[in-house]
Amino acid sequence: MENTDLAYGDVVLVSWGFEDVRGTVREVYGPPARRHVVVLLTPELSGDIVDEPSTVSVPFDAVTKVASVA
Amino acid sequence: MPSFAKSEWDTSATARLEELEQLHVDARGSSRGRRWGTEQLNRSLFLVLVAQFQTYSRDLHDEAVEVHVGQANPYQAAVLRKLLTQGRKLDTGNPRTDALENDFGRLGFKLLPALREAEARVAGRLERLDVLVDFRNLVSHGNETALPSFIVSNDIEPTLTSYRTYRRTVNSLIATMDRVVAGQLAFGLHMSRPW
Repeated sequence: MENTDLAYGDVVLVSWGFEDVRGTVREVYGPPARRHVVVLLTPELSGDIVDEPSTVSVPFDAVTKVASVA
Repeated sequence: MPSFAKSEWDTSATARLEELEQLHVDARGSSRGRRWGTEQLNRSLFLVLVAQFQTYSRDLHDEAVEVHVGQANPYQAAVLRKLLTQGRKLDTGNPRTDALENDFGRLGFKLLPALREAEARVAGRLERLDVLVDFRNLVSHGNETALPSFIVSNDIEPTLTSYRTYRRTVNSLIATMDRVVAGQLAFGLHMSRPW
C-alpha cells in the first residue's frame, strides 16, 4: 500500500535497522519537499521492541503504510 | 546559505506572522497611540510566534539528523535516525530551552553552552524564550488566574510592543542556532559546514 495519503492513526512500517517494526502515525508535518512523520511505537504493535510508548520522527518516504485508520 | 529550516523561517513563518500582524493594523489603524480591544489578537501573536519557533527548531533538528544519517550506511542510517529522534521532546512538547538541550544533545554536542559561547547576549535570549513559552502556555491553557502575576513578574505582556520585542529575540536566537548547529556538526563530523 502506497503512503501518499498518510493520516493520523494509520499503521505503518518503520525501518529499525535490520528489520521493520509497526507503529501508528501521530503527525505528518513539514513542507511537501521535506515532509516527516511522527510515528508512535507501542510494545504491543512493535513486537516489544520498545517497552513503553515512544515516538520516532522519520522522513515521509521512510515509512510504508500497511493499514489505513478505520 | 542558511539551513532549510531557517529559509522556511525567513519566508513561510515570517509571512504567517506578518499576516497576523497586518490584522492588528487593519483592526486598529497604523497611527501611534494606545490601542484598545486588541488583547486577544495580541495573545494570538504570541501563540503563533511560539508555534513557528517550534517548527523551526524541529526542522533544524531533522536537518541535523539527516546530516548524521548521511554519514552512515543504509542499515546504520535507520538505527541512527531512530536513536536521534526516539522520544524527541520537540515532537510532543514546547520548545523550551530544556527541550532544545535534550533533543540537540543527542547530536553529540551541548547546544545551550555552545549558544552562550557564541554570543554574549544569547543567555538573556534563552531566558526570554522560556518566559515566552511559559506565557504561551498560560494563554493557551486559559489560565487567567496565573496570568496577571506572571505578567507582573516577567517582562512580557499581551501588547504589540511586547510581542515585537519577543519576535526580535526569537529572530536573533534562530540566527545564532543556525550558525552554531552547523558549526558543531562540521566540527564533530569532520566535514564542511552543512549550511
